[in-house]
Parts: sequence; C-alpha cells; structure tokens
Amino acid sequence: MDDYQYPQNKILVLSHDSHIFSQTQLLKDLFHYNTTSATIVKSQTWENKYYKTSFDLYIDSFASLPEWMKDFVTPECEPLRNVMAGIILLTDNKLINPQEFLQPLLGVLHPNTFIVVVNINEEVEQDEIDGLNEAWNNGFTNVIEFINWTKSRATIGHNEYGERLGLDRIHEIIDTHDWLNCELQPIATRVEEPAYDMPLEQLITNLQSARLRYKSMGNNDEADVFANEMANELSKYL
Amino acid sequence: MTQLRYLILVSRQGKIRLKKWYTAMSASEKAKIVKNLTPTILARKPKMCNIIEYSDHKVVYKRYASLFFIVGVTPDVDNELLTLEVIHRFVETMDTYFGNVCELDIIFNFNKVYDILNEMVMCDGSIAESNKKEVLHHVTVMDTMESNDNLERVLS
Repeated sequence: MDDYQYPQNKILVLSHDSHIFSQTQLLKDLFHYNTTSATIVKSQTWENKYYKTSFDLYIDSFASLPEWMKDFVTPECEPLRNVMAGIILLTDNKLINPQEFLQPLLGVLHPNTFIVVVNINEEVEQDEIDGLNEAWNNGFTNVIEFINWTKSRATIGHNEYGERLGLDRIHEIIDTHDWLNCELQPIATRVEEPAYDMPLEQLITNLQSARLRYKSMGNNDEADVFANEMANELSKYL
Repeated sequence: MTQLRYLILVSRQGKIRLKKWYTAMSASEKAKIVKNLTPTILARKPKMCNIIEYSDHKVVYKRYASLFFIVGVTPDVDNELLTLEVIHRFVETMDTYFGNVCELDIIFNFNKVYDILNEMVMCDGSIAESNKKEVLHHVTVMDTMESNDNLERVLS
C-alpha cells in the first residue's frame, strides 16, 4: 500500500504544560485561532495565493516530553503519525536537547511530515538556532526546522540570505509543504499578469463574436459558463 | 565563453525545485549528481567557498533565502565568478517578474521559471541574454501570446 495515500491533513501543536500561554499566542498568530480548551479543531483552512487546503488542528501539551514521546512512537499511535502533515513543538531550547526527542521520532514518522521546533526562550540567540538547523537539515527525509519565536518578537525579519525568520518562516514551511488535498486557487488570483494590449477594433470584434456565440447557445448553463470565461479573458485587455 | 553543464535549484530541506541539464547525460548520471551534490552543498557552512570541485568539473552554488542555486561548470572554459553573476541575474529576473520571488512562486510557476532560464541560457549552456529587460520583455510577449491563444480558444 502506498504510504502517500494517507490523508495527511493534521497539524499537531505541542507544548509543555507551562508554555500554554505561548501556545495560545502561536495558535492565534499563525492559525488565527483563539483556543479555549479544545484539543481537536476540525476543518481549518490554510490559504495562500496559489492554493487552499483544509486541515485539522491537534493541540496537546505534556508534563514530560520523553514520556509523551514514548507514547507517541508506540505502534498503537502509527495511524495517528501517518496522518500528520506536521508537528509544531514549542520548547525552551535551554532546557531540552533536540537529539533526545528527534532521534526516536525520525525513525517512525511519515517521511512527508514536517517538524518545526519553536524556541520560546528569548535568551536563545539566532546563531544557536542556525547551528541547530545546520546540524539537522541534512540527511533526513523529513523537513526539520528550528525557529526562534517569542511573543514580544513575533516576526523577527530576515537573515543574511534573505530567508524569513520567526513566525513568517513557519508560515513558509506550511506553505511549501506537499499537501495532498490542496485545491488550486482560480488562476486570476495567482500571478499578477502584465497588462495586455489589443486594438479597440479587435476588442469590439471579439465582443461581437462572443455575443453571437452566446445567443446561439441553447443550453443556458453552458452559455453562462461561456459568458463568464469570455468576461474574464476580455477584462485582461481593458 | 560560458558552458554551463546543469542548473539545479534545491530547497534547504533538500527538495529539488528545478533541474536543467545542458549536456547529454544518462538518467543514472543525473541522479548521481543530484544525490551526491545536494547533501554536500547543504552541509557547507555559510563562510565556506561557493565553488567546489566535483568529479571532472566544478560546481558553483549560491544560497538565496531557503533556496540553493547549484550550477555545474566546465573547467578552463567557464569563469566561476561570472557563473555567480549569472545565478544572481537569474534570481533578479525572477524577482522582477514575480515581485519578490519566493519558493512558493517557483513551485507553482515552474513553467515560467523555465521560460526565464531558457531566455537567459541556451540549450548548450552558453549565455543567450544577460539583459534583464530583454529577458522580461520576451517572457511577457510569450505571456501575451498565450493569453491571446486562450482568448481564441474561448471564441472558437
């Protein structure tokens, strides 16, 4: 059975019990979701100029990450792991060693699942995060990324390569994820197309031809579709 | 004289976003290059040199945001620094066309990215056009023709 047949449309947002406030803030900033006590939020929409996709938000917290991870890597949790599009883990990088939780996770996680480790400790410098990214972004099939994000500096800007940092980078990771269930946006909203030139006479001739064709159509639905398509095409020249 | 061998665009996570081969190679050779070069380049530190030797040729790479532009060049024929300029010009052209290009633009408009590249580099790997305005003009003309075709199709 092909692994990619799983409906990978769930994002898990995970944090330590003591980081619930940061988790709530991240959910609000990233997914525009004001959490209450819900642990599963169904049918959320992730949208950009190219596509929109529907996903479920899974929200969880732990008292001990090794204990939580021990449960998550068990065979009983395999169906859950297989439907995860991504895991966003909020941690304090000063307290947790990434090796401890990433190593067991990578062996069992679906290859198309992204892992974003969000550091919420303001004392951790970006250089430290860059070092972790250099160490972990090579040789794994899963997308693994470390992000520095704090409530006071939700968006930090760009690094020396012009790469987005903070919340914007999490946004970009979700945008570029290989969603299996995405629906393409209408072409007009995707690329800002340049203005086209057409002589006025030609435009009027085309409009007249379109009018005649519309009138000659027996099926009203088909005629409406034609009229809409025509209007979209001709509007590019106006 | 420039004689590029290939251009590969790869994301920081090792996902291939674009591939263009300018010399005849078997599928296994191409796969080997991608398999070997991607981890080698992704593992390089920011301060390391942007030019490396690989097999019988040299490889020039440059990182822009989360994307690595990797170009294979012919030793003694190509100028590595000029190749870096070609990469930069390619990025600048895409940036102008898309308006602050990002990885998502390249994923969803890969055909346009190939069009831009084809206007700049000929099929044998030599530079066809370095003028950004000219390249953009040609791509815009292609877009207009494509749109006219769509209009004709709707009318017919």
